[in-house]
Amino acid sequence: MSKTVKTTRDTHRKTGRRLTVASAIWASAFIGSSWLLTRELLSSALAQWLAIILPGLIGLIAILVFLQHLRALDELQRRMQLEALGVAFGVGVLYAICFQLYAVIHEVAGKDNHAAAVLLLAWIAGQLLAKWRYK
Amino acid sequence: MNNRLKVLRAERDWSQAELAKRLDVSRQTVNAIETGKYDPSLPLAFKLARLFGAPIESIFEDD
Repeated sequence: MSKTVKTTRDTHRKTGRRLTVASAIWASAFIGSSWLLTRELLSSALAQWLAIILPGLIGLIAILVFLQHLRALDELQRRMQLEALGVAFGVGVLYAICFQLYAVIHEVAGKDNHAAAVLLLAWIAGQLLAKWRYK
Repeated sequence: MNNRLKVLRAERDWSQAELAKRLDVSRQTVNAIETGKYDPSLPLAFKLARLFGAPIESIFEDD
């Protein structure tokens, strides 16, 4: 009888798949809610609140899955993630400061703040940089 | 930090992927250690030493 030994690499693959699924559900929920809210398809206040809260709850689950994924990585992959998150955080802070200053001289609406997209793109760029660095 | 990982691996005729599997890390990690782009943690260095049956100081040396 053979005994299956779970390695860190197996766990890493499994959590990676979970993260992809969780991110896809999160993105779909966010896009769906944005679509419903911008087209004013939700008339009741309760439905509107649900459309705001639901992507948030799914996002929280995705964050927990991401943390689980980080724990399953080996030490170099963890360092690469740390560097990528460092890039994302730095770029995010820079964007927030610049946006705030821009908002002082221009009239901007809250929907013009693309912080989430900037953070995501900076995280992806950070990962690519780290991959190139340790190639 | 310099290391003799590539030599030790070649002596055993192991690929980077095979060594990575034995160490339970990614192939990229093995490659990064071999090329000196990444210095392993102490637990991983001990794991390497045990795997090759050699003391850590004979695998890794300070610049």
